[in-house]
Amino acid sequence: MQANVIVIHRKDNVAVAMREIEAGEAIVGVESKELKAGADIPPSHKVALTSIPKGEPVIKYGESIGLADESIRPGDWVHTHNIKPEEG
Amino acid sequence: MGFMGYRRQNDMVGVRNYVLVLSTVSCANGVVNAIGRELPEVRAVTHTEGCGRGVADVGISMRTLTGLGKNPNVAAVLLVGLGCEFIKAPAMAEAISATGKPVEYLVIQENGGSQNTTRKGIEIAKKFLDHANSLKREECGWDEITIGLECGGSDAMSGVTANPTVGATADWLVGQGGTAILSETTEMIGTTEILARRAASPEIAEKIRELIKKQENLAEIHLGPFKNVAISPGNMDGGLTNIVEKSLGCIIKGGTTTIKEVVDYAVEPTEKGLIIMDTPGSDIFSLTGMAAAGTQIMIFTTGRGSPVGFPIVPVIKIATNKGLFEKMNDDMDVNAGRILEGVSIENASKDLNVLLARVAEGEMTKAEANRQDVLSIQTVGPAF
Repeated sequence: MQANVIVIHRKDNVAVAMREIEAGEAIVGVESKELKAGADIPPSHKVALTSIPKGEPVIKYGESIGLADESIRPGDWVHTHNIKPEEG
Repeated sequence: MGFMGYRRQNDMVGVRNYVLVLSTVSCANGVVNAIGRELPEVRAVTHTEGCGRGVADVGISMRTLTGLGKNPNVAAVLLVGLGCEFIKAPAMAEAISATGKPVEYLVIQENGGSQNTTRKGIEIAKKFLDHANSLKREECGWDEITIGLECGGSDAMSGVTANPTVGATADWLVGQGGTAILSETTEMIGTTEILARRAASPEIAEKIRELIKKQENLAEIHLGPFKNVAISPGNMDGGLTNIVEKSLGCIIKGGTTTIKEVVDYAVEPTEKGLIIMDTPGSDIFSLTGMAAAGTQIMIFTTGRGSPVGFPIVPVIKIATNKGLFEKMNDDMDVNAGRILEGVSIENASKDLNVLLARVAEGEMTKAEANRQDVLSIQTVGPAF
């Protein structure tokens, strides 16, 4: 099956959708087991690869791009609605 | 393994062998263009500076133009000045001749006007072309190469496909002992501490902090309500959550190695490895600053499709997506959109390294074939 996400850095806990992914669709292109999209993921948006507890960093490019503003589950769409800036 | 390049008198290495005909002031542009029409094989380069500016801008222009003359892709330089301008052709000729390459100058007010100066200029340029044509390529090392990194007309895929590929190539070059220049200070906003952590010393970390702070202040003063273009609604629609994420997608093209030095616009680094240069995010100003610092090759990623090149430095154009690569194929050298079809960033970077070697040895880039020769010198103050 052709990959529908790309992981930029090995430390990342989010991947980038290479095309529109519908809720329930399998996430393909990551090493991890069965992972399904928890919501519709628009193209080039982020999808969580692991659980990210509230207050923990969302990691892309191997760096924190902000903190989870709520508990994020694997397969969730990750964007402005659930990330807050790291410093106050 | 290295590549075949032109070793200059000062031991620097060029990947091109140009005769540069350069105006020292915009009033001399007509003569430079006339010489260029007669001898299309020279690089006739004009600009808008050289006079009528404040002290700081005269300094930047002098440094930039001198740096372009010193660039090792240039075998010989003919400067054309007017005579009454701020930046004097004789002083610039002397500064460039420190490289050991042939340099001459003509001053229009002392050579009987435009037509006479053009005639004399053609004779000098022909002599320089003969000289350049007598030079041969020889074995050179990658540690003698500096690449300039640029992104322009970015899209949502810039930070996903093209920039990570370029970053892997920058890491490869630095691993070979070479140098990569990361520019565009505007596009580092939000990543201050991430970059500072990678600095080779606390002093360099502090310079990085000052540089980005200065750029944030400038954006505040000059862009006012538009400063948020740094992260626009369009960016967010494209999946970028905040300025940190957007800037990370830009700086990834510098790779992951230690930041060895921070230099001002158009200043030649004294260190090898990854260098930060303070330039505007605006592409052509940035390319000019890096070329004046001795960059021999540029790698330029684009998502919307920028066709620009540079008069004396080959620019490799990387399309972030297949659609652009096909739509503007006569401007694009590489399709990083292949990564969306399953090619790994690592393999895309290996292919880019192969292309880099071919371009270093003379293969023309699309921007060179199109003669997309544009140049803009940064200014910090008004014209007087």
